[in-house]
Amino acid sequence: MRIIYTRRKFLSNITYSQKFKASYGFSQQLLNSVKIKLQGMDDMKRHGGLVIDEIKLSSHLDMIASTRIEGFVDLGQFSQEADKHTRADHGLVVMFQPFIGKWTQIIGKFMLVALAFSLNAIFVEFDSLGAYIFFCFVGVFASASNVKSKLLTKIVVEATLLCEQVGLYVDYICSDGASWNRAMWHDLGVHGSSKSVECKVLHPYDEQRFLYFISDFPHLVKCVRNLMMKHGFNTHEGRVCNACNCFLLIFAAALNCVSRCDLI
Amino acid sequence: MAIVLILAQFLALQAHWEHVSSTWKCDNNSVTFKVAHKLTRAHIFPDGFQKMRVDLAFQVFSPLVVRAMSFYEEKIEAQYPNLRPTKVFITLMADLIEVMTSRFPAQALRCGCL
Repeated sequence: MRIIYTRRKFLSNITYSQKFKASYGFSQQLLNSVKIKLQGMDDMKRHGGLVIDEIKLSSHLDMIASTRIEGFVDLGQFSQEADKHTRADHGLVVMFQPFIGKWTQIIGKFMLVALAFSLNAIFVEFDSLGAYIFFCFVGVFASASNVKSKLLTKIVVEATLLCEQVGLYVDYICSDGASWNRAMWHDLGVHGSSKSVECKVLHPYDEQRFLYFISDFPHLVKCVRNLMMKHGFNTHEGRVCNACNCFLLIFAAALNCVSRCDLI
Repeated sequence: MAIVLILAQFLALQAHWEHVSSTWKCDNNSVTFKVAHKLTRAHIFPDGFQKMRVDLAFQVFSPLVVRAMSFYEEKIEAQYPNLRPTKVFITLMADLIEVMTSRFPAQALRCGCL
């Protein structure tokens, strides 16, 4: 109850969100408002990137005030007929973050609200301490199991194009290193191996610019910590690798050593 | 013989979590001052929810922990030998975190800066 109350209070403070009907997928209404809002803003402040994250939710059906049942798979314009009667158990959020602005704290808090209550659009503007704080949720999707990589690729490209159309500059796309996100990178031509590293693609909207793909660094640090607790790492002059691989390398080196000794 | 030697070398090159946990155990004394005062039980033995917390992971990979390791080196070595690789690894991670969280290009990640 307390959370619901807080949410209502929170919503009543936001003048913009009252105009928006909560729905899944990308909201044209929201994007139009962003467009109006961006008219007086200079180009530097419009640069930013898209942040993508998934959350696992317990599947639950709910009757909302407009007598519609919520909780089924809903991917907005990407919805498929076959999935219409499956209960959703994951949420995906695509969010735009500008480079300029002090907002990191705020985003973390609101994202939970947005995901838990499937609220699709928040557009907040704070003006404290002279800093221009601004962020918006571009879209929320509910899906059964993970969003498939092909679909995720579509959603990402669509989100980028929509943001560019309203005047935002999307320079990067940041996500964690989950397998479907990796598959999405692969679909778009981003890869990394010992021979070649490709972290950017030509921007789908503007031929002159590039779209960079970032793997969330704090998430990686967390994974390193958890892996270290489980297995431990090999260090060799600052090189960190999987225990198995390193063992093989050393074994190969040992063999090499033996054969050289034999030669001598 | 060479293989045995190299296997020994292989074991000596591993960074272990036990070193971090024994650092905390040595440090967790209610009488004396703490060297790594930021380390808590949640850093060393995180439960399911604490495993998802980024700040705990960041604080484990900090120069503070390396200093505490140097401080308690003898005690830790007595329990778990070969402390050096762990120290090297944590220093490396701390440097990486510093580079990745830098606010201006002069400090940023460049070829050969680590």
